[in-house]
Amino acid sequence: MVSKYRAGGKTTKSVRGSQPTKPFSKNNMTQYQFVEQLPDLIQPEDYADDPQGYRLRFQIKTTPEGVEILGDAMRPITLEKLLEALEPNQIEQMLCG
Amino acid sequence: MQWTKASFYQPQKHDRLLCRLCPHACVFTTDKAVGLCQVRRRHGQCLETATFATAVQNLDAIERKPLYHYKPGAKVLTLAAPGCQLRCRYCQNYRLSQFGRLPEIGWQAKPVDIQSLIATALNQQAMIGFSYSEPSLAAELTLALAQADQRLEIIWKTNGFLTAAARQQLVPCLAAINLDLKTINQQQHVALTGAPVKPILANLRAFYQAGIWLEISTPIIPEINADTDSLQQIAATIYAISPDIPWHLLRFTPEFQLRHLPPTSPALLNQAVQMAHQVGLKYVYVERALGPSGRNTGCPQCHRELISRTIWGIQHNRLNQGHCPDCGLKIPGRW
Repeated sequence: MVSKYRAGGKTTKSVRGSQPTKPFSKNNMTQYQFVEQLPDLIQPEDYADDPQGYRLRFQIKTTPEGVEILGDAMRPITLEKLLEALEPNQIEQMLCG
Repeated sequence: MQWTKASFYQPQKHDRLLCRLCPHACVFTTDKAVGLCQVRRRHGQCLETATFATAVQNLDAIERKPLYHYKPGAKVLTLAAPGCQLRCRYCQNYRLSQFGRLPEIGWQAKPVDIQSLIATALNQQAMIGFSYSEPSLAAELTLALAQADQRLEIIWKTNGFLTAAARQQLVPCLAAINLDLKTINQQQHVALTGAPVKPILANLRAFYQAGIWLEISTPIIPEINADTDSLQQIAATIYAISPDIPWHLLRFTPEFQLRHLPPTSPALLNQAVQMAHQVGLKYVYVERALGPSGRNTGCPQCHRELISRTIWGIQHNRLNQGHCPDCGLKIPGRW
């Protein structure tokens, strides 16, 4: 089971504050869209290196529409809050199974 | 949401309708009342279902379901309507499965056209799979697809929570199933999913006896079912049905209502694999956390590698008409 998300289509500011206990601002307008495939960023060795699963990996790139951020995490909520704080219209999520 | 006339219900005394699809056995007394699954409702003297719909139409590898001993490398056109009879506290797909229980989740599915689905599947040389949410709630769509074209192979990734009556009607339509068995402890199962495990165990045995290719998945959740006793009980239950049934050990991701728990460590997964082999299960798999060795198939007799897999696909298949090419042992599966 993995959690991969991609948010994009909007130029974003830099984001700070990744402590899981610190709430990010909630954006109720963001829609989650289920997609067929997103690339892996978390690698098998990450599981052994970080058994508590706090690791996040990102790939950020510019696109004609703005900035696209791909995230992969072992604890989805941290990644979701981070991406939601960027206020994209849509976050793509890969389902499990 | 588009509602379609359902099957699997029975009129009762005093103008009540009994849903006979899952063991929750919802009784509908008033018009437009919705069942516990949130996707079946009463309309007049009938029940209706909202599951002639899908939120996705993904072309997946069969290894992703996961099904490792059924036609390796096959493609699966995967469908999923919102809804589930269970409310598993760890569900990673809760934005789809928990439709109707969480106010922030909207209906994301579109109605399906059966002929178009069949054409897409056949053009892609793909099976049709129901996954991500609960397939048995799409029982009527499964039947309709199977009746529309007998060339189609249909597979389910299911929680197995359906009545014996529904199972008997659906068995002839299904080629392969991956069934989730979270625990065999009744109290633990109710606490984790909101439903009893007994009907699931009965269906597990019945699917196997009916000849459907069956594999089992278990999420290993720290502090819930990850202790040795719990896992041994699950392994022993599978072994009693057949030591040849592949068992997939799933790494738990802290999600939904169990975000406070840690993820499953690779060490724990490794211990569970060893324990399962000691119990006597021959084919035990971990998709990614143990690396390629966790998902490859070895011969239980000569221990040579037979099938190597990528995370969601086939890399190399050395089977010779379903047999080990080195020692000749027949490897269970539909190859």
